[in-house]
Amino acid sequence: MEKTYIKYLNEFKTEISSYFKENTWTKKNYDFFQVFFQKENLLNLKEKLNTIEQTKNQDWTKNEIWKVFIEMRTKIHSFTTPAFSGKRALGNFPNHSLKRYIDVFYYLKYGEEPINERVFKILNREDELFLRGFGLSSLSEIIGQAFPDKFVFYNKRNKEALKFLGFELIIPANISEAEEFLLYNESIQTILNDYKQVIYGNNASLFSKTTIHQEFDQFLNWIYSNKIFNSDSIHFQPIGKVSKIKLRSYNRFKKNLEIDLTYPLGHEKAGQALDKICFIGQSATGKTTLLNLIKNFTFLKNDKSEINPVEKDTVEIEFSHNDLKLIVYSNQNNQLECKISKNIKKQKKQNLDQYFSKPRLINFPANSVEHFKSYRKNDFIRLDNIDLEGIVDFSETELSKRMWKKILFEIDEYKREELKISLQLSDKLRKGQSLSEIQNEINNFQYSVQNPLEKYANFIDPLLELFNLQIKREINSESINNFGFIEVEHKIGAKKDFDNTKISLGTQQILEKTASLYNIAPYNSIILIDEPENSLYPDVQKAFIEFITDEKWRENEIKSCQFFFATHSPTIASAFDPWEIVELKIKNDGEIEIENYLKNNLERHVENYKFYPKYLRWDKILTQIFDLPNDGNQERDQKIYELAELEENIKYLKQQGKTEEVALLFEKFTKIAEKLNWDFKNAML
Amino acid sequence: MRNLTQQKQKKLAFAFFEYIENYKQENSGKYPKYSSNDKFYKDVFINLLICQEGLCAYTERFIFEEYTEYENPDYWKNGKFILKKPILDADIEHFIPKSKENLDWQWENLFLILPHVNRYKNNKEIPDYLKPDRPEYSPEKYFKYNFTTNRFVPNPELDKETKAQIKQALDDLGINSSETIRSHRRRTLNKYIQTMKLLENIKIDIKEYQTAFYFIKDDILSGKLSENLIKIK
Repeated sequence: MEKTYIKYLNEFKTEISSYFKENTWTKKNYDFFQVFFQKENLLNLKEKLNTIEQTKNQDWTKNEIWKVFIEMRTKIHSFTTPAFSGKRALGNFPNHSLKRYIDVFYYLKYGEEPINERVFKILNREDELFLRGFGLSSLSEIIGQAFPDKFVFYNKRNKEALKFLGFELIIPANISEAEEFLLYNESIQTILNDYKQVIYGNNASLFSKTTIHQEFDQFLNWIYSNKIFNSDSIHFQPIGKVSKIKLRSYNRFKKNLEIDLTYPLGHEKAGQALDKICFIGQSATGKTTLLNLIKNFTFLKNDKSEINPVEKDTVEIEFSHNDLKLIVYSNQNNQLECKISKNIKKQKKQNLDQYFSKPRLINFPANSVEHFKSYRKNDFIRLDNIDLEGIVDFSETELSKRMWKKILFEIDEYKREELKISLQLSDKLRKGQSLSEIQNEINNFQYSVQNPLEKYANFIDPLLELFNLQIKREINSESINNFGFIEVEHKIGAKKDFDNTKISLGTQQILEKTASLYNIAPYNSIILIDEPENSLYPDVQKAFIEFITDEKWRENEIKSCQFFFATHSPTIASAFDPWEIVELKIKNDGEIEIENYLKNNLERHVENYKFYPKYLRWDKILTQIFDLPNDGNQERDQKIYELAELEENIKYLKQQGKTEEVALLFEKFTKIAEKLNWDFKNAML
Repeated sequence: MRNLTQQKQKKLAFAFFEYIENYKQENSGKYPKYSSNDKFYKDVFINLLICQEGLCAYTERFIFEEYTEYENPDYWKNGKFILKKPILDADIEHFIPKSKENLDWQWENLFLILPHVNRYKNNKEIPDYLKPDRPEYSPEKYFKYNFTTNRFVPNPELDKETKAQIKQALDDLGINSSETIRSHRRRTLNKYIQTMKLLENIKIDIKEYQTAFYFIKDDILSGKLSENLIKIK
């Protein structure tokens, strides 16, 4: 039987020479690892460990050993797209002791067990072989580089390319990643042989000057970018941020309503999609409806059988990324589909694939807080980790527990490593190793591994400070065994211990949302938060919004995200510029409209707005943004009017010389003025 | 609320005025039915805007400050406004509610007002003596403006019943009741007072809130107001 992929091999054969002339990195990466995995080199690094002195707050980017690993980051393809993923694994400082890194790689290449066994254990992240930030695709590259004529890299692209070539991998459910990798390498032997036969026949000298396995990976890459991404039929997800919502005819929204979600003229980001948006409006004006639309349109489900509640030609959502525009709409079969709004070059289309978000969207519905004060570690063990590929939706049950699981297990892991090292050291001490050497080893551990609890506390404490609280950094021996949960304590001045079983709803909701964002570390994600004000005091509401949308965190943890809030809170509205607010309003005929914040007839420019919530007094936000008809309740209004009438009467009677009556009215006047908290000296009597 | 007798001239929307006259003759004095989709709607709209000098007829807040540009003869042809209707936030309002009498397109019954003011006025009836284009109407006869509270009140000289009517009317016209108007009026008057204080002899151009300004003018000139200005809520 003719194999369908043969024709693609033949096509690649005609291009292979120029392909590897352009693609020089394959060889460069190969060379780097060839040197790195030499026994001599690894032993040399081990040797250096004992001679390099570790100091507190050292600059790791200058550490001679760590420098090698930072360089390694640039040689691993899945660590360079996107750049941040590599930084999590091999960043500006190590996540484990340096010794661990060297040991893991030494074991991989030179361990005593059979190769497959070693590969298996590393991919299973067994105890001391666990390296934070390394996933299946990056580890598969390292394994492929350690044994370049034995293993082919394994990643999403390669899987898709193989599928395209008609080479379906059958991966049974419930097998581990380690098994999956080995099975994959076993399965592709036939196609690998065909590659060798078709391209080279008996010729032994390779165009790439690496190995057949590495070349084959590049062949799959070529298929992916030239064949898959070039075909129009492929279904793809929208990327980037929401820049426009068009409601042609949907629910009670006014027909052909367009919501422009880009920065206005005169802004440094003019034309780009907004980083944060706030929906306001009375109940039942469709705030949550809009959030749900965004959720459904951002991550398209592959399952075509599912009935989509949005009919064709009713809603369109435009996404943009740089100058690319993508439109998600409901097609003839009422299924959501994504198209690129204008013709773009093939080059650009490939760029779509470079865009990466993780996860695509996070949804915090209103009242999503679980009462986590009663959580215990044992609750978590059976739970799966959160899947960060598509949508992380906190309306799903137990998602909050799964989120906490991650941070608790990291802390746990750190504690175990700490304990083990202290046992080792006391052993060495007994055997007579010198104190200074031991001191150096302690430093090695303490100064190289950051305590995850402390890191988390540093992140979240600035916000907890508003409650005069902070994360408890000490874990006493009792709580190691029963290490239940993140605990908080009073920051200063409190005589009593903080009772963590009585932690308030507001504190819980802040802890949960910030911890989730910290933990998930969203990248290019869209984040929906319905009613962020729940259970929070007015000033804390605003601080919370500012905290999670702050640029400074985006640099590190929450990068390049787009936030959508839906709120009834005036203090939250005051955290936004007028172009970031979408006010939904019910018109007399029952239709829902967007309130126009621009002054008459003027273009969308930063200077042309009617009001700027950031600069308004609280009461003005209520009357101008939330359209309360008055600056106080009716009773107050009535009293003010009485005051006005009295003052004018007094003036009139004064003119008439009726002093007695004036005195009587003035007494009345002062009484009302006092009730109104009114400085009546200002009156014009 | 100013007197608009002088201003409300039939000057630009000729086609509309002719049409109304003809219609009345043919229909024994009746007016045609009103619809906001009417072909004369924007002509009347712009003509009112110009007559009212860009201001809301009741609250005296600007609807559109650059209203004079629509007087441009190039924009009018055979008594019709030929540009697309500009996007201005304003409503054509019937002083006597159109449900009440058949006065739908009676020019004298029409005023241009801000939409949020219309939320207060809507179909409410206002005493006839307060109709802004009645020659006998004058603000000083019926009102005082109290600067302390930024509210209009009935003239203390009036009888009790009239006072009560006027109090109600001030709410129904949005003059006292609309916080948006009140706060804008407060800011604008403060601006006038401050400008007058700083520039002393220079004449300033008062456009918005002329009525309120009229009532406090003497106090400003005597210096009585400027001291209290900043502190007042």
